[in-house]
Formats: sequence, C-alpha cells, structure tokens
Amino acid sequence: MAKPDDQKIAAFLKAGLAGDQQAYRQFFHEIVPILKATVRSIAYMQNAEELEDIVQEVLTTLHNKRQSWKTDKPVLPWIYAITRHKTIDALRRYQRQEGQATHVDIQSLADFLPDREYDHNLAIDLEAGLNQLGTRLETVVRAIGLEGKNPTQTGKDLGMSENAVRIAFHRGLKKLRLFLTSETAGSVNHV
Amino acid sequence: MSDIDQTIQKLCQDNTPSGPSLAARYWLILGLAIPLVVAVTWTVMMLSGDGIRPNYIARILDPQVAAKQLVPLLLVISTIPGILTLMRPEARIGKQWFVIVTALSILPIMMIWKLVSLAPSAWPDEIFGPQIVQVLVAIPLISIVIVAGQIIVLRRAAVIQSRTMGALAGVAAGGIATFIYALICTGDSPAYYGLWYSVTILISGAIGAIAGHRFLRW
Repeated sequence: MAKPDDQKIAAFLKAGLAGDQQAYRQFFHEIVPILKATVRSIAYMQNAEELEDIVQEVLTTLHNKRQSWKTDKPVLPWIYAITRHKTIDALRRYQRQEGQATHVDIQSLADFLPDREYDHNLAIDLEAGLNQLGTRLETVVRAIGLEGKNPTQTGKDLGMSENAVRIAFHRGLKKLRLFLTSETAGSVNHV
Repeated sequence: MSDIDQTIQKLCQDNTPSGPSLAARYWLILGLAIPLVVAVTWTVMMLSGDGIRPNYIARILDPQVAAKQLVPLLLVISTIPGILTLMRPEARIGKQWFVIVTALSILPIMMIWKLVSLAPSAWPDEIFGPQIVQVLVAIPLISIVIVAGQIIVLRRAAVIQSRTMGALAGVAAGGIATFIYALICTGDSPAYYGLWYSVTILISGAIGAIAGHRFLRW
C-alpha cells in the first residue's frame, strides 16, 4: 500500500464536509485500504468477515463523528484514533461473545463426526485440520482438546493469558470445524 | 457492489453540510446555559430573601473576597482548553494538566494558609461558617445544569477518555456555579470557602465524570 497522502485525504474530507458528495465518496474510497490495514493489524485474530464488519463500523463512526476533525489539523491521526478506538471496542465485544462460548470443547465436534469408534481417514482429516490452523492455534487446540490440559496451565506453558488461550481455543475449534465440514477434508483422505 | 461500497453509498447520501464547529457549539451552549442558571439562581435567591450580598462592590475590593470570585473563574479558564482538546480523539491534554491541577490547588492552599496562621482552637469557627448546607447543595445543583448542557454538545465529539472529559466538564461547571454562588455568599474566610468551594467543585467533577462515562461513550 502506498503511503497515505494526508493533504489529499484532508482536502476530500474538507470538501465533503462542505457538502460535496463526490469528494466525500472519494474520501471514503481513499481511506478504505488504510482502515483495512489498521484494523487487520489490531484485530489480527479475527476472520475476514469480522474484519470487514469492523471496517464498516469504523466508516460509519467516521461519518457520525466527522465534526470532531479540526480542519486545520492533519486528518490521518484523527482517522487512526477513531479506527483504533472502534476496533478495540469491537474486539472487546467479540471477546465477550467468545467468553460466553468458552465451554465449547472438543466434544462439540461430535455433531458432525461419523458415529464410529475409530476411523483412520477421520484421524488423517483431523491431523490435516490441525496442521492448517497455524502454530499458535494448533498448539492450543492440541493442548486443551487432545492432551486435556486446562486453559490456565496451557496459558502458563505458552506464555499467554488464560483469556487469550480460551479465545485461541475457541477460534481453533471454529476453524477446525469449518475445515472438517468443507470438501478439503475429504480430498485429503484421498491423496 | 461490496458491503463496504454499499455502506459508503449510504453515508454519502446522509452527508449534510456540517454547520458550526464543535468548539463554536460548545461556546454557544455555555453562552446560553450561564445566563439561564444566573437568572434561575437569582430568582430563587430573591424569593428566599437572599440576593447579591449587600455592599458587594466594597467587599470585592478586599483581596480575600476577590479571590473567592476570581479563583473559580481561573479554574474555568484553565479547564475549558482541556475540554476543547479532548473533543478530538487524537489529541491528548499533556501539559494542560499542570495548569488544571494548579488551578484546582489554589483554594485548598488558601485554606491551609489561613488555618496555619491561626490557633487550632480558632479553626472550627473559621471552617464551619455560615451557609454550609446552602453551599453544598446550591453549587452542585447549579453545576448539574451546566454539565448537562456541555454533555449535549460533547456527545457530538469523538471523546476517547469519556470519564476524564466528563470530570473536566464537571469541574468547569463547578467553577462557573461557584462564581455565581460567590456573588451571594457571605463567608469570606479563605478557610471556609477554600474548603467548601473545593469540596463542591470536586462533587461537580464527580457528577461530570459519571455523566461522561454514561453519555460520552460511542
């Protein structure tokens, strides 16, 4: 991404605030890549859909709070401050939602696992699913879901907070579930 | 068309010219709220038999009496720049804190200064002067109206530190309310007004902080 041009963006916003719709639209289009990058850098653990939701939320807030930008000041610090604030706000919300769901355990995968004692293909699928989680999520899911450790112990082992472990575990399960229900899993079996 | 494009489309349709700046709105609301609370306070005091203290002009020439009008005013003047700064999400108060804390410290320092010059046996008479209940009730009551007015404008701002902003608005309102109340207050000892005015200004600040936390989050 090219370095954002504060003066250019400020000019679009200034004209937009004066009622120029075209300039206002241009302002938003100019800042979308900045917002996406900023949101992604803060909420790096969220999936693409959640990141897009946050970006939309930030856009709406920038519009609602547009009067708080002082036209003689640089616009980018103002954009970054609002983006950071709303992203952290959204993360707290997701965290609360996920906190309510921290009781999900590996057993929840039973809904879509075939009803049989042991399936070699399933083991391969699970292994492939765990491998695609990424080191951090994989380690957490293995520790809690397979080795039976508790989140506190896992947190200590990995140097993470208990809450972060719970979030990572839940996210890992979610990703694993998606993987196992997608066609990718089946194709792994037949490689 | 992506969701983001649709959102942008909707926001552009909603874009109307923004009108006066937030700072201008803030000054406007203070300009409206202050005469209103002065008029209401004056009416209430007249009905209750009080009013501007007799021989006000003569008394205000006494530095100790002048200070009880000027220090709250100084507090207002030192707080408002901080409020205007915190309206912008990217801004921080920084060195303005020093000015605010200094202004807030003047009344307590005056109180201590006065008390140390007296024998401890004389302290109760100096501290528990006339109208304590009136001071403790009137100043926060007046300041609530001014806090409410400020909050209405500040809700349009992008306040990151909502409690701090609310507290500053409360202190500014407390300063204005104290300035108005000092016109009728006959307790002229710095030990008296230094203590009770400080307490009421802090109460106003606490009211502002609670209101800020409740109404300035976005």
